[in-house]
Amino acid sequence: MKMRWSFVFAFAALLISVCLLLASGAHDMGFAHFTRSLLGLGDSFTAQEELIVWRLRWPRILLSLTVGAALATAGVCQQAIFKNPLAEPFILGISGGAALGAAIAIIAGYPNLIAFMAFVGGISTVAIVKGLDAKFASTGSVTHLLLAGVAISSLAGACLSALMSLYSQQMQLIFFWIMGSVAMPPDNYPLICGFIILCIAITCGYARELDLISIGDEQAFFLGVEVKKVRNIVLFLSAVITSLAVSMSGTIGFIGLVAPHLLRNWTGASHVTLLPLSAVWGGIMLLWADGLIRLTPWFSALPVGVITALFGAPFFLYILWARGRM
Amino acid sequence: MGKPLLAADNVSVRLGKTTILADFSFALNKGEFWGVLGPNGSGKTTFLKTLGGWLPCCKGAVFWEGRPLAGMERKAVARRIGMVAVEEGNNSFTVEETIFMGRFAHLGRFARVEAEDKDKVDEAMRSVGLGDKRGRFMHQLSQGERQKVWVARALAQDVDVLLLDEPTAHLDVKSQSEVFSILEKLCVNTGLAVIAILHDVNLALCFSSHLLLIQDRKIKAAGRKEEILNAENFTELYQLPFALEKSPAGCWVKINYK
Repeated sequence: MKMRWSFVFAFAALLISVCLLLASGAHDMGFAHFTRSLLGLGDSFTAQEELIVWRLRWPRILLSLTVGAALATAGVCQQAIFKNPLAEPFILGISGGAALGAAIAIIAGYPNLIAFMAFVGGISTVAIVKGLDAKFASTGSVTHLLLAGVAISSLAGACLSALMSLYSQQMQLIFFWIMGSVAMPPDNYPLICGFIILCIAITCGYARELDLISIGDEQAFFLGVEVKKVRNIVLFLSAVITSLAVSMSGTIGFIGLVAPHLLRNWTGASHVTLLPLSAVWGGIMLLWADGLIRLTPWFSALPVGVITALFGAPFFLYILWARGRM
Repeated sequence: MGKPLLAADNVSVRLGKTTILADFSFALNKGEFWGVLGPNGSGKTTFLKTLGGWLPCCKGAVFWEGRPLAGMERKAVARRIGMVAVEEGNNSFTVEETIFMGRFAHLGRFARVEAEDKDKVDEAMRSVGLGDKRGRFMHQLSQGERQKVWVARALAQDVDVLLLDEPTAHLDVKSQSEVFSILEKLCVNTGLAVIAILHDVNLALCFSSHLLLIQDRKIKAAGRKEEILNAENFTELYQLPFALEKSPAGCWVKINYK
């Protein structure tokens, strides 16, 4: 029963957030007029409003929701696989690799290729980390994978710093890409968003396996999980989800860490509820982080990654404090 | 007698270049209750994990009713063989959720939980006396209570063979007796076969039908309890003076710890 209400509440919050943020912005059309026009209740959008709502606000909202959902889902997966509450979507070096890919495209003067190069950078980093783990570690433990991730991530970070030092005139562009933004969705964003949502749905199909893996590889094995196979599939899915999200928005921190912890406090540790609800709430969080940028003059000059970190860090500390009191 | 449920044929296990269990053969039949005894580091847990398929054999093979265990699908194995060991992992699930994990091997990927699954979980929870704690989180329980949850999860798994690695190490004597009585009853009534690593020799003698003694990474003796039970065997196994005492309730071991 509690589970059902958690879903009802999450989807109600999602619907309300989307409607509020579609209706609000620099051009004030009034919520009553917006609702009547949207539902076709004796009112309709003007051509200008049509353009603002569906061409400017909707793509940004859809992108925020999808990226937030992607990061939160990937965060849940990494925390289960690494059995570590500090794990987050970028733990295997995706952010470093994606940023390096994007920086190369920016420096080479191919702005159209930034998203593609970021995706290639992110997914290649995970492939290298996985390859190193397979070559050097035969124990099947995730510790080697984690350490390989740290090493490759540092290497990508060093290469990025070197590029930024050598091509200092593009430093600001690269820096803003790294801090993340959902303001400019790429042309093919509906396709990428659809693909991300499909991958999230497939990941949700592994929820029961993730429950078991999170209590221990050996326990999961004796309860019937093909641990290595499931781990590889889920790692692959979360790498694709994260790389696609990062390719559209840059690296946005904290959503992948905060959303799963928040949901664990509310609805428990079972991934059957944790995965879909984290996706919805991760989307809502990024939606409002971007909403703050759009709606408040104080934050309008800040990248969305700064907002998520500014609000995410204290919120995360609050969650930890609240859990300590339980 | 037909094929044994679980059998190991001339198996050796290695960790790196070190042999951690050498050349053992073993057969487990329906309804048998094996107590595994031996000093620390002798290879008892390795023996259990090899039989369960977690540790690969470098020589020989483990068979389920004559079929190589290594070639079987994992869920199919988990419907037949269950394991209870001390766990250190994620304790943020509730008691009910943890016991429900035992039903994983019986559920399809998107299958709904059936009434039969709920009944098995309720029955397992009641049988170990945890009916009133179903909503409690695992981290809110004592180590002994957690151990009962793991036993209940294995009962809910509804298997033919249970492998137990010190399943009652943190339980008080009454709870030890309750858990082993449940297992003994299942062995007699349903043909469940149990292999339990135990450090309490008397507990092993009280409930086992068979004994297996492991020393220095080799099986020293295995067979029916009456055949294995003599003071020399135990004295040699633990390097401590043992004496057997007979009482109306059965045979007991007296250990001189000094």
